[in-house]
Amino acid sequence: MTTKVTLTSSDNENFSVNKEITKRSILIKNMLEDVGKSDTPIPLPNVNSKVLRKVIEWCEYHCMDPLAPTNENTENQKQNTDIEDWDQKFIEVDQETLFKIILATNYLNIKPLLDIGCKTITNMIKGKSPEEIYKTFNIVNNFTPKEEAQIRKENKWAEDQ
Amino acid sequence: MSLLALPKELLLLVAHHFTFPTPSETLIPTTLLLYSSTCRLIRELLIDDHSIWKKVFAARFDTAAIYRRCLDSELDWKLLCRLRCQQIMRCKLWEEHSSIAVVDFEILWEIISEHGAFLLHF
Repeated sequence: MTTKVTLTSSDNENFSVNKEITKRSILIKNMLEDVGKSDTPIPLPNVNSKVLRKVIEWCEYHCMDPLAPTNENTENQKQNTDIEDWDQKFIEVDQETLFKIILATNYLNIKPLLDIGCKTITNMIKGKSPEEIYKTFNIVNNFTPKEEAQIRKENKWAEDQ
Repeated sequence: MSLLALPKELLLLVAHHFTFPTPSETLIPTTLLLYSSTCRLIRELLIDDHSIWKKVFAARFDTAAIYRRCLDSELDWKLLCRLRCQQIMRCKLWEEHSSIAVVDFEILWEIISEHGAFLLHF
């Protein structure tokens, strides 16, 4: 019989999820180890129901994946910005939701999903001009003309290729 | 919600994904330079993060010899990376225009002599 865990989102929606699936989140895994056997719902005050539903969907799909190593050694990471097809489709969301998924996975400590979110932003930036980046991400260019000139000077070597 | 609303650690994590060579950016990390030039917050974040240019360098050049000599702690990786990339670009120009004047052989020698196991693909 599969043990279920109840997760409560910030807007008080309960999600009953297989315990093994919730262990994709290092935060929840550690909490479950700390509290031992308990039916008390786990509150997730930083994640709303819309985002939590998406995160659970991802965890369910990837439930058979080996758990990511917990150390910070980046040498073993897949060194590219490719995203697998299913994940690519999964992360096709509006920008607001993308940022919220990234924030949620950072809070829940689900490194593979966090990487997918960050890679998605990376891919959105690649090949764009500064103006397109400002527009895409709602960034205000707050450099003074003097600072801009300094940056242009610093980056000149890269344009000489 | 703007990209800049993300915590600094996540903005840095995004930047670390620009350090790997890609089919369109084998040598110069153009997108990283562009990202670091978008606004003051990101620029200051990247100036303070000494690991990022070390990663750019390590992803493009064989660093085994540098590690063997334990010289990796105090190096200016951004400067090293820039000098090496410039020399490789100048070698390409030399090939095209037969102009030897711009090539710094000391830096080229460093690249060759520190190069151990892998072949350069640039």
